[in-house]
Amino acid sequence: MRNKPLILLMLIVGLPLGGLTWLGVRVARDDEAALKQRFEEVFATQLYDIDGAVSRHFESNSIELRDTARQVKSAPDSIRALIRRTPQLRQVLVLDNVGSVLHPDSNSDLNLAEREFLHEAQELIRDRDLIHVSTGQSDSVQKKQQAEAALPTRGEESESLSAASGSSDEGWHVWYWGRGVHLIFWQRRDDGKVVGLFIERGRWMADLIAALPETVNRQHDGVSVATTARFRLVDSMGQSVYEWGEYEPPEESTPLTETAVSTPLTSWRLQAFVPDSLLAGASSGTAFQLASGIGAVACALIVLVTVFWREYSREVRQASQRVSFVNQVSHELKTPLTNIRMYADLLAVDLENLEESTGGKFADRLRVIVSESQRLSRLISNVLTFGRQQRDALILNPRPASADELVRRVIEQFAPTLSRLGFQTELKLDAGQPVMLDQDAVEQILVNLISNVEKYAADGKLLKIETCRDNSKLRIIVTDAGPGIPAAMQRAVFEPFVRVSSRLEDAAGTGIGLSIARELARFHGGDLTMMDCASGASFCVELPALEEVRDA
Amino acid sequence: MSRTGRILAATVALSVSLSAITHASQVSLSVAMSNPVLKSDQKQTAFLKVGLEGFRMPVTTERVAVNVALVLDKSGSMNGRKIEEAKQAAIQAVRRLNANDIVSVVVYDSTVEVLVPATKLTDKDAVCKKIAQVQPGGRTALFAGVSKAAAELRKFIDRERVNRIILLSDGLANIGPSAPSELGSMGASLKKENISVTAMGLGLDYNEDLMVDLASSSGGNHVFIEDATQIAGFFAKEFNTVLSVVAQEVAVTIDVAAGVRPVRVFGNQAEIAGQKVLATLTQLYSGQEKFLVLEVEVPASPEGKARDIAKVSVAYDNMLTRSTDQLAGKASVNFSSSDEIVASSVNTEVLEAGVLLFANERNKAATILRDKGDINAARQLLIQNADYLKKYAADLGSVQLDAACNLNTLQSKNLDDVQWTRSRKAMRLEQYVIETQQSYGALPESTPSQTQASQTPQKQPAAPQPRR
Amino acid sequence: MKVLLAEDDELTRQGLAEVLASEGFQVVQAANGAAAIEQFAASIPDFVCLDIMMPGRSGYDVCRSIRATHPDIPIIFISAKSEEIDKIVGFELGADDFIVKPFGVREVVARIRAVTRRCHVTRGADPTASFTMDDLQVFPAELRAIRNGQAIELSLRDVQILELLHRNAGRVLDRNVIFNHAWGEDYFPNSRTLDQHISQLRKRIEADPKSPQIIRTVHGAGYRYEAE
Repeated sequence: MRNKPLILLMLIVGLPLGGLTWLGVRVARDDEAALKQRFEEVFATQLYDIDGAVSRHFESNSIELRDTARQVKSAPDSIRALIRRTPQLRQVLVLDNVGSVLHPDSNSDLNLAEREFLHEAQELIRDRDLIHVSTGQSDSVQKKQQAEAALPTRGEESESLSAASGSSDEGWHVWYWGRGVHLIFWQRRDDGKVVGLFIERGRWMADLIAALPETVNRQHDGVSVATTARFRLVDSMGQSVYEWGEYEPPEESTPLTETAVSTPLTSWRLQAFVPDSLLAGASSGTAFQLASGIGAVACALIVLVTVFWREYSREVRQASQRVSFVNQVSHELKTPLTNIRMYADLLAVDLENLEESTGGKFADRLRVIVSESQRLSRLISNVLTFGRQQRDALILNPRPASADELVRRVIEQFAPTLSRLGFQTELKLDAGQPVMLDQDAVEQILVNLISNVEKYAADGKLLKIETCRDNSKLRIIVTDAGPGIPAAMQRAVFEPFVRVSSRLEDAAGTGIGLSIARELARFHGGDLTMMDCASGASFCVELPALEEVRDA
Repeated sequence: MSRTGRILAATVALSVSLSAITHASQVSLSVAMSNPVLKSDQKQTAFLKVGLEGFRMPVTTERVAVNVALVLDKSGSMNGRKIEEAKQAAIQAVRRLNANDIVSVVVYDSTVEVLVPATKLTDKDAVCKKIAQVQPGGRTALFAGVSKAAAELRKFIDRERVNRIILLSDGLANIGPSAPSELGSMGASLKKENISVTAMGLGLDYNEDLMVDLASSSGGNHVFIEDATQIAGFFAKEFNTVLSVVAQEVAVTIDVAAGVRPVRVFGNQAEIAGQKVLATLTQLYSGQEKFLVLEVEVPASPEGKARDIAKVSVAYDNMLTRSTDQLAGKASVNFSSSDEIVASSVNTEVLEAGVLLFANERNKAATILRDKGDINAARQLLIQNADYLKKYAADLGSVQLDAACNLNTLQSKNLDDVQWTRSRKAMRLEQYVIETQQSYGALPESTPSQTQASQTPQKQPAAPQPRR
Repeated sequence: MKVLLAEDDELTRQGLAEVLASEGFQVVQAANGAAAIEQFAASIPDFVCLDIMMPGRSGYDVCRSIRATHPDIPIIFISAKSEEIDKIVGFELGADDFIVKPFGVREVVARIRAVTRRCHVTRGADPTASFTMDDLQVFPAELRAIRNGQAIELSLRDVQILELLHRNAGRVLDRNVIFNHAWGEDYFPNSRTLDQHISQLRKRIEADPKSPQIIRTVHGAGYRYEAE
């Protein structure tokens, strides 16, 4: 309970900070998303440019190959010589206008490579793919490619497929065989013959790779965004063919963006990978601002709370010092008060033994001293109880006691005052066997109730105390015939420092009596409540009646 | 042996000697049959050997300028000793070159970096410094590395220079094209540009098929470097050869006479179309002998008949004279019914080469069997091969065949899983060295780690017997 | 009965001693803890009243010391320390009651009587044992008398006087005899002390104190109870 203010202060700091952080993180996340999108755009553009380079590479290659194709004569030896001197040429296929093979002619003497080639390409030859493509009859190639690639391809495919030069009598044909894509450059002659140049797969891949950028070590050059990324050319199987850029993406990572390669490698893709740290790093500006903003607010709040807390704890300290001072003083007051009371009592006894005539007047005055010192005792004990209550130091110590006896003792204590005020005291005691009670607590409850009667209900001239046992409950009911308590106040009277009337001329009091009485009753496992009654006030102390046989 | 037989044999010997032309700054060509006298009246096969020997480069002459691209694998597996040795070897190699040479350095891991773009080597220190700074990490984009290197070479491609890519890799190509056929395809294409790739496999994790295909298709060398400390040594050897090239683009044309059927050329460097056999040797080094062995089927002929087998013409770029030289030669046989005459006519040198290459083919077949997991069949084949080689080693008194015999025997014992990774590399290397008459590359004798499998055989000769 | 009273405040001690004496106890006083322990050993009282906060050894210490040898002697703590924890400590130590300052004489008397009753019980006295004087039934162990169903609280001394009178029913008892019995021989008598006490007692036990039937005055001799 004493930590409550601290928790409260922590909440005061924590909640706004949490909120701010949440907001900030959201903003940062939005920023990151926006940033990611921008990066995607940037890299998409780069990929587009790279694809442009790929296109240009194949275009210039096709120009070279056009000349090569033109050199193809019908003599096998000349074709072989052409193959021998043309690095990228693997084999040459010459077809007539209906697709019959003119070279390599399986009926003539073929070398091993040619025989192997005819075997490999038998399906291509049988399906007359090159004839269809070269006569523009079919887009089967495209279909085939798209089926293989299952990727969206850019437009102008058929054009670029068949158009290195814009004419439609030559172009690339893609052929899937063995380990992957094979490229054929075809050319249709005026006489209807079709020449197919089969390019060395290892060669065109090597040339393509050579045409693409390489990784630039940043030890030697400036750092650019592109060098911290990874670009990857993947084939139709998704296998990396070539990659560049310093960033090493973890396996299985997904590219930031990707694009299909244009003709002829339409089933291939270009991918860009970017380290997460780049996205985070680029937004680190925002993150930094955010962090510093939150930091500043946090600092301000912490300073504020620290000041607050110091102020508060100083007050608490002062308050507790005051309380402890009051406790101290109260304790110190007890000894003289004890003596005053005791000697007043003793004096009273002495006076009783004097003649009525001489003692009467003295006795009256002495009664005042006795009753006032009693009142002072009550005040002190209430103050101390309140103090304990405030610092959670209330502890009960129940022992077997007779409630009736206890009531009698308390009444006896009040007897002089009550009789002076002309009270009629009615006792109806039926509490039975002793039960477990903290006598001091119960006594304090009763004392507070009775002193209230004495203070506020003196006009009623009646004090009625009943005790009864009801199963496991012990009830002590204190009733007066005073002015009663207004309904509106009935709840409030139990609050500390609340008095029914705060007018100065009314009876004095600290306003903590009922509060303490109720607190003690509750602490004792019971309660103190107001009871309905026709006139006056009636308070009921309800306590658990636990009988315990005390060991002898 | 009859008199006639002796005369025939002498005639053949003369014709052979006539066909050999020698000159101080000319490549020498020798064309010879394994059996100048064949048994009459039966169809049979024989070996035709076309030998080319590079002339000795005069010491005083300025050596040929080179255009070299170093391709270094700097993938994560190279970390540590390997990359340091590789860097040192590369730096030492660069230091041997001079300002007329062109050098480029390409390094790759997952991606490729052109560390030193092709440039005349005027500032060695700058190049060496860049090499020294290489830090390993990443995966292995071997194909792309070679592609970029080829592009660098192409910037200064020149028939007057030796154009060579020297690739050093220790791992499986795992980014980009990685099939031996794809690398072979690229190599074949590069060869046409007079670019050859020397593929150096380091350690036990590289793909030897890929490296062999790349080297063989491009006419380069192949080596298996088991220990990183040997890198510098092999680099030195490689540069020795590169710097001693005397002839390039050696185009060999064999016109096989009508009626005689060319069966096969050992190795993959030749193409046979009809009666014409074409082969290109990329380079010929100073004093080095390279040869082709063509197996021919000779139809049954009557005794006493002389038959032309083939005409051989060779064209090459002479690196010393900077001219294109032509050479020619031919081979013919006689027929005799006398086994004795036939036997005595045997040209041991040709037969030795034929047997060696024939056995090499079977050695390759054994590798394939072992790849399929049939260890027993592979072992049987190797033992059979060893017996075959042993017989001819004895007959011909051939040290080389005897060595090959021992090697096959040894290989037959190293087919188990534990040794296979290593033995396979060794086998592929030996096969390649025999097939291409690579001037170096057999596993170094001195290295202790290879006592088990690579023993270089140097015993007595053996004897051969090609198929009938 | 003997009571040990340990209290450092002299006025309080003397006042309490007077109250206890008037109840009929023989009071042994101690001004501090050490003295209390000494006095206890010397006199072995019937019960003990202890102040907690005393110079030197505290009431707790004294209590512990007494309990070590006499676990059954009733002990009442008298203290300004009203914190519950103090009470708990007190009760834990075996205190029979706890009287918090400031207190009135009546309260002290009531509590002392309660403890006295418990004393009697623990000593084996029969709480129901009684004798009758006129219409008054006296329960000595209970320090109580009943007339017409009405309970009348009695002090130990009251009971002693009534017992003496009852035992000697019909005989006139000399003042000194009564005084010595109820006050003890070493008590320095005030000439009026006995008469005043009898007067007060009559007020409570006589149906009509103006014409007493139980304790009758024999002028010049003493008092007498006349059994029916």
